[in-house]
Amino acid sequence: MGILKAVRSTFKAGSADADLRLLKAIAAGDVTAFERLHGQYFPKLMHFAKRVIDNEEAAEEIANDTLMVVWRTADRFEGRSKPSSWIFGIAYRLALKQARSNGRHKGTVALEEDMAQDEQDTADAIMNQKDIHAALQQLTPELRAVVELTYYNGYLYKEIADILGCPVGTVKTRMMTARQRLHAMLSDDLPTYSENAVA
Amino acid sequence: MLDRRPLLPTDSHEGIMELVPWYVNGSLPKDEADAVKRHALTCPACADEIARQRRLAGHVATEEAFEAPVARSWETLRDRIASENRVRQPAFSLWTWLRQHQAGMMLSGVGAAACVLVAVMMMPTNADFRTLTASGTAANDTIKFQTTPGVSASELQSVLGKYGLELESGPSKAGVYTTKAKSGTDLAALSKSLMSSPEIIFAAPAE
Repeated sequence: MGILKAVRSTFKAGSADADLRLLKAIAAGDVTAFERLHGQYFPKLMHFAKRVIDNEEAAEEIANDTLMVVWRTADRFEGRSKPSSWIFGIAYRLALKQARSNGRHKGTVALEEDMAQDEQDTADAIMNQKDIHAALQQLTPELRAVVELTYYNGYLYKEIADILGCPVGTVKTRMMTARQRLHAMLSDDLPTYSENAVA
Repeated sequence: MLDRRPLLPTDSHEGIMELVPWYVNGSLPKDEADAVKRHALTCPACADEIARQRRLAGHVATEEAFEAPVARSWETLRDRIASENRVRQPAFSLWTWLRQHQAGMMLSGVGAAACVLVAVMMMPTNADFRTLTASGTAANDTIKFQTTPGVSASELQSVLGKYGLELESGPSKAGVYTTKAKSGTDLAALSKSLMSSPEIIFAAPAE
């Protein structure tokens, strides 16, 4: 538990109120405020995008494009969700668009149900490698995004629903699907994780 | 349907099982966290799942550490902003100028206003006439939006058509489009729906 709490507290160091103040300043054209927001969010956005599309170069571009959208449209943020949810929502849509244009994915989670057999074919190889990265890459971008937002960013399911622009039930279903797929691909004896690794 | 099934109750095994990831990441509200904890005490399957998800979470949280090129990214964005500002430079804000010269204009303004009033009264009326910047009721039915890079005109038309919208103008220098909705439409809801399309990054009712 300590690991995730550490990640979560690091991630949420900039509170929603502070983010909101930054967005207001950005809306007024304050470049210094934008630089601060950029410093806080760029690494997280790039990590998130990289997880969704598995390409570092494209992930950097997506993180940059996301922040430019924030710069241009900060005045239109209405506060219906947290600023971070709004920002990650933009990144999610850009990353999904990129994933689709890469032709690596056919579009919906429902379609992925039909691909379960193909995934199973690769399961043995992945189990041998115990490679969490390879296992995650077998998931659809939508499923990877939920896993990433839950376990890397520490978001609650309601916040993830805001980011993905979908119902809470969809978030839970996607997470359950991701868990089942990963469970099928990875052996249960994942190496025990050191709680001090990210402390 | 996959996306529309009712939420499971948190006092059922399945409902608890669904909550495990957020119990593990520590984000659950106290009542739900307590429910998971209580259930796991008597349910070996959920206790195992909690342990499994903790291991997975540990991997995801620490895997693939890489150096994000923050400085390079900021340079790129700063250049983009500077470039956009140069393009926007000729734009003249009458309102800002008026505010800056408010005091000096007070006196002459009264006289000028009188002249304008007379001129307006003598002008022929034409109910159909409307300037591009006029903010009549029609402006309340517009939505501003931005697309993802590389969206073609036909893709854009297709997306807008799906929501019964027509492109009114755009893109602006900042890449913003304007579309007009039918009168009486819930613009906030429509904007949200529009954003669910992968081609649309951002949409919001025009102010």
